[in-house]
Amino acid sequence: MRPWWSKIKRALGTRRRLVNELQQEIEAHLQFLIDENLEQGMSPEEARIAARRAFGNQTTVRERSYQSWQFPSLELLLQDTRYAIRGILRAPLFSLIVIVTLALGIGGNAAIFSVVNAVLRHPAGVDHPQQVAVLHSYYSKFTLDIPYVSAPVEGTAASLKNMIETAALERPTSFNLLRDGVAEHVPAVRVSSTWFQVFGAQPILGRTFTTEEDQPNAAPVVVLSYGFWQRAFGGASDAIGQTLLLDGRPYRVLGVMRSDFAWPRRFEAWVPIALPPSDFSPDQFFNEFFQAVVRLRPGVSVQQLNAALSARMWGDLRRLGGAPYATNSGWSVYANPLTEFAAGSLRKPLYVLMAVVALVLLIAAANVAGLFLARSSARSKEFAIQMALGASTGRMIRQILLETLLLALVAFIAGVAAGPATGRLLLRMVPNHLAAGFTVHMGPELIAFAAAAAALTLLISGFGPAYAIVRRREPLSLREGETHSTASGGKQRLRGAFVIAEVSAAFVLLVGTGLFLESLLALQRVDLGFNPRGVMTALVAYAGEEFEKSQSRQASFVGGVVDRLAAQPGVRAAAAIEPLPFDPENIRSCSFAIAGRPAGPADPGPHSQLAFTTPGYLNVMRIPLVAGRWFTSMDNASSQPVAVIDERLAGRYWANQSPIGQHISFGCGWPPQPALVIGVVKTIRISSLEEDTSDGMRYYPFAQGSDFMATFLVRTDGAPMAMASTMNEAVTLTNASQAVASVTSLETLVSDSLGGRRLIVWMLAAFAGLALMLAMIGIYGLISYLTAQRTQEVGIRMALGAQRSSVLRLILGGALTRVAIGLGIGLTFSFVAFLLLRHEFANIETGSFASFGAATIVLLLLGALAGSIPAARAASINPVQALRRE
Amino acid sequence: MSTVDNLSESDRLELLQGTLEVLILRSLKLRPNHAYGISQFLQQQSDSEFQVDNGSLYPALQRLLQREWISAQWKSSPNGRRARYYTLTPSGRKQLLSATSKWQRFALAMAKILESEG
Repeated sequence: MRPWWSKIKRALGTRRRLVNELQQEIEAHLQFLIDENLEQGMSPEEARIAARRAFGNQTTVRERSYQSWQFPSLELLLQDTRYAIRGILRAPLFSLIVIVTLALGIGGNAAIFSVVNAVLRHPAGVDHPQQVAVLHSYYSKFTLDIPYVSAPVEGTAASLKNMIETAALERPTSFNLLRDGVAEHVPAVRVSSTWFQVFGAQPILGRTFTTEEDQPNAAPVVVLSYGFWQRAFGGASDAIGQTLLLDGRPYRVLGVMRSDFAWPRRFEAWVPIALPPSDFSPDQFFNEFFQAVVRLRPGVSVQQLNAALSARMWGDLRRLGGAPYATNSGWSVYANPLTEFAAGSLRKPLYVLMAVVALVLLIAAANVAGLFLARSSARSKEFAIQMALGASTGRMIRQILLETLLLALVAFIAGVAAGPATGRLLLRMVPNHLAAGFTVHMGPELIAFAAAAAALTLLISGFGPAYAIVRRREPLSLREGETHSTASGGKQRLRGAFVIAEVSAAFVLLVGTGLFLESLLALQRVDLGFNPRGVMTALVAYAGEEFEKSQSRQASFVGGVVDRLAAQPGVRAAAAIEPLPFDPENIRSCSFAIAGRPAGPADPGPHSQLAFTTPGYLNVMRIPLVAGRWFTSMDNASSQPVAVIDERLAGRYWANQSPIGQHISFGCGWPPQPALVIGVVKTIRISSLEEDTSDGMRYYPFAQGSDFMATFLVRTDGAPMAMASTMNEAVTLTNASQAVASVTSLETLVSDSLGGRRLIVWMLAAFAGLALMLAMIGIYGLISYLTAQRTQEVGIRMALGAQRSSVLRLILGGALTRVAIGLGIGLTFSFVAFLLLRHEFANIETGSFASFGAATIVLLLLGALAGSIPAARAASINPVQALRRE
Repeated sequence: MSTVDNLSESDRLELLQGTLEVLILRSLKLRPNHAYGISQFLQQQSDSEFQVDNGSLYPALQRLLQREWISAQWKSSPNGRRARYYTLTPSGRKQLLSATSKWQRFALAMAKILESEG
């Protein structure tokens, strides 16, 4: 280390001193020689000349000594850098094109990476997110896979102390905050006291609650989100210890979480879940009412946890007696990483986009390589002069790589600067429920990634010209006007290879765009079974526990709001439903029983989704009634309990008979009061256009059930969102302590369910367009260069009688041959990509034939267009002039 | 570009790679010396077999300085001329010891082979 350091020290600070010292030393040396010569009787003049001769070449002594200080390479580098900058500035347009191309490639990668990093690797506000996992229940028999578990299951998981640090439960709730006589909805969750530890989240103010505060009869306390704290207390630090009136109960404010902590997402307050021990009793094993999260011990993988979970669960089940039911329903519990769970339906699209931008980067690099090659042809005279003056091949390659490096550096800076901003924009394009809880920011990882991308482009784009120089073995010609009758081989083949690579990559992107676009269009045409156009929705979560528990209060509130809405001008029909189809976080399903068909104790029995609704629902949704009747206002608390099922359920359990007149129980751990099936309606899609996730539906009237929230629906002829104020009014006029929580149009909800897919289509289209443009520039550049090189050849051909059309064919053929080779390669890659994606994305094969066909045609046309301009130029060559130039 | 061309080209001994630095260290073993003195010392001690080229001597001195095997100060010579004197450092002394034994073994081995019979 030492010699190295002293070299640097010399190099940095003391160069001048060293040079002087060496000069003095040489002079002292000469003086000794002169003294000696004088002693031998020479004249002073003779003595000096003899001494100089004896000493030898001073310049050599100096230069070799400098070399040992390592100055020369540093100096050369500086010199080369200055030279490179001059080279860049001499061709500003060229440099600009290179920088922009590379910046697009690097910036695109940085943008997507910043989103991938935020969504797939670092959900905001979570410490070591890869250690956090979410528990899921899976019933293979019902094809039911939900991110919810029962309390005893979480208890069993938490008992795996050697693998799990902490575990916590969560259940959404909702408060209405009464301030100045105005009710405001506060989305809140009940959580275990360990909730915050699982996420490693610290409050910025106050504290989170303790185990003692998380007990059934403890005094009510609340932890606020940053946003809620700002809104309710204006960010005042004396908020701690104050009370908030939530649903009429005073909650003491314990703490405020950091602004980036939002788990679960979009909730603004955390209160203790305070579960009674009875919730953990074995008979609750299959009641999945909670979301459960665990923090793994360092070094424990999710796979290890899953193996241990399964063993422990089955052990418990056998001991407690739930094993037969679990076996028959195909029940299991598994954990998946929070990062995967949080990314949700954004995960796959992001992986696709990552691959897409990588491809764009390759195209950009190939394009720049082509540009450099073209430029190196144009600069061959400059290189020849350098070589004639003694520049080594190594130094010239270094020179070229330096130029590329400087350009890539500028592009890198631009890309890194623009990346996160673009990433944020990208997340904004994503439906809110997918993007919430992720923050894109600049970080060392992003910079490292962009640097790697820049290094890759540098390698690719600098390789070509450097290779061209190495290959050039014959002495370079300096003669003015020197041209070759035919284009020189190696370099143009290399350029051709870059063009082919660009074409094939552009083809892959085009096919991808086509496939995803077709699939998106097909999915948008999927028959939902209802008509979401013109429907406005508003969620109301009942305020007040007495309200939640009072069936009659709820019934009269729901009925009151619906009646008020129906009476408004512009409203075609009004209704209430819970849960609302396509509400991303609200799906309910459970097993039930059919009267007269006794199920064994271990038989899971029939299973379906269920919803509470009102008489106007079919009219609002335009769902056809198939048989029997729908609910009327006569179906209320005092009349016969009734239910309506959909065709899927009817077909599954009443295949050869009419379900009407049959009795079914409610299930879900509710009193087994059987309801009479009075009608059958059409099956609808309940959560996804991509797949039919419904395993049948049971509808119950609100007037006979009880819930803790309701979504009101209004069908209107005008713009649905114009009904927002009508909705608010209807709710507050019916009950002043209730507030509307969220308002959306049903169409938006349906369309948002395709958000991930739409993102792919947009991004693919943008990138494919970019790729096409770059490929066209590449083809055009190559063909015009080749054509210019072949001017004489064309002249000779025409002088010998070739027709213009055959010249046109010759040149165009050159362009199209390369396009065709690129297409062949692209076709292979696209097909492989298609096979890989087919299993990941529903409906992708819809447009496969059209996509492949269209991409082929587009590329051939554009290739022909890009080639035809130089071809036309060649065809108009005047043979006499062309030959005279020789 | 040798110092004094009084030997014909073929008779001159070329310094082997790496030997010059050891010889410089050796020349500084007894007392500090300047570049001219070192080259004289080497020439005299080798009975003029070695002609030290300044183009090699100076870079070698620089290398030794960088490795901190020698240090340099400006001092007045006995005849009143100022010169840059090189001194062996402790680590230079150590290096000289190990290099000496290495070169002695090398020379012995060479001699054994060259003088062997048959």
